[in-house]
Amino acid sequence: MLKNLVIIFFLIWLTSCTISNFFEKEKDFAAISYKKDLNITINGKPYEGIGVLEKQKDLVIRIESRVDINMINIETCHRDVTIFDIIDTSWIKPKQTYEYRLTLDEVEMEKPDCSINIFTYNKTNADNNADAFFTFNHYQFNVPAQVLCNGSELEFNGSSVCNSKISKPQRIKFKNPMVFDKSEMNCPVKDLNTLSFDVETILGNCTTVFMDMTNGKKHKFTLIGYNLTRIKTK
Amino acid sequence: MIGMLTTYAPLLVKLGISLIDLFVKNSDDKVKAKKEFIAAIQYQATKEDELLKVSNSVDRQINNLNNMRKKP
Repeated sequence: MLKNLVIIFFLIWLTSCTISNFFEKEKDFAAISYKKDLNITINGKPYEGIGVLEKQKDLVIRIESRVDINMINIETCHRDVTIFDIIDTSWIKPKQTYEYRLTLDEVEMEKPDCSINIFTYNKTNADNNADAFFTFNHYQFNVPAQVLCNGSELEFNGSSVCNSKISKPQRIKFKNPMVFDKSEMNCPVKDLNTLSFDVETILGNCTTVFMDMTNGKKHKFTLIGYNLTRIKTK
Repeated sequence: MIGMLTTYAPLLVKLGISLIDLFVKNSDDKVKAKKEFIAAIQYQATKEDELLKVSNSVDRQINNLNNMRKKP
């Protein structure tokens, strides 16, 4: 009787392992973009996933986490930094912080668009991974705009950013007539009139520069499309 | 003895299945998460540099817009 039970349990376990491995597919990371969801503090200011930063040489990036962060990747248009095991939580210290000082060099300071991607990874539960995106204000962009982003009305100075689900159009509005470069069509932009533009959200990062033809002043709008949202478990 | 066995056997079987299920699920989740962690690192290291691509696109857009303005 007991022998039979042991055999049955073993067979159930073996079958479930085989079936789950058979149907398991490798994740296609290129076809996935998660909603920006990393809570982070930069130079003392808290952000949830996205933000526009003032271009200053020193950025103090602070992350507070209740789960282990086994890897952090900080990427700009010029550098790629990966650090392992930055946060190791335990029941004694369930919440821990990590601080990283990023000093922008001349390439990152000079480029009109040199944004930052920050990824944090947890090796025991992929839903605990998180990422954030930051773009900078730059002296070349100085036209203010109102952005209707994912249901929120946001005011920006020279650079703006929005994170929304793919295919949903987001709107940018100006006080003076603006034009954009139609030959550089990496983003589907539709001009409603010369003051308002709808940009269809596509997967990943899409940046459009608008210009006031009368004075040459510009605004940079970055729209980041996602197709998945992580469900945080802790 | 037989009476006890018929009463508790279904419960024991259910408990056993639940325990096996829990063990399989936990170990399976851990293996999957670790696989995904490694795959994410590999992807991160080899993917196309999107930030640089966008940065270059912004440079081109600025240049083209400035040229548009210069044209009569």
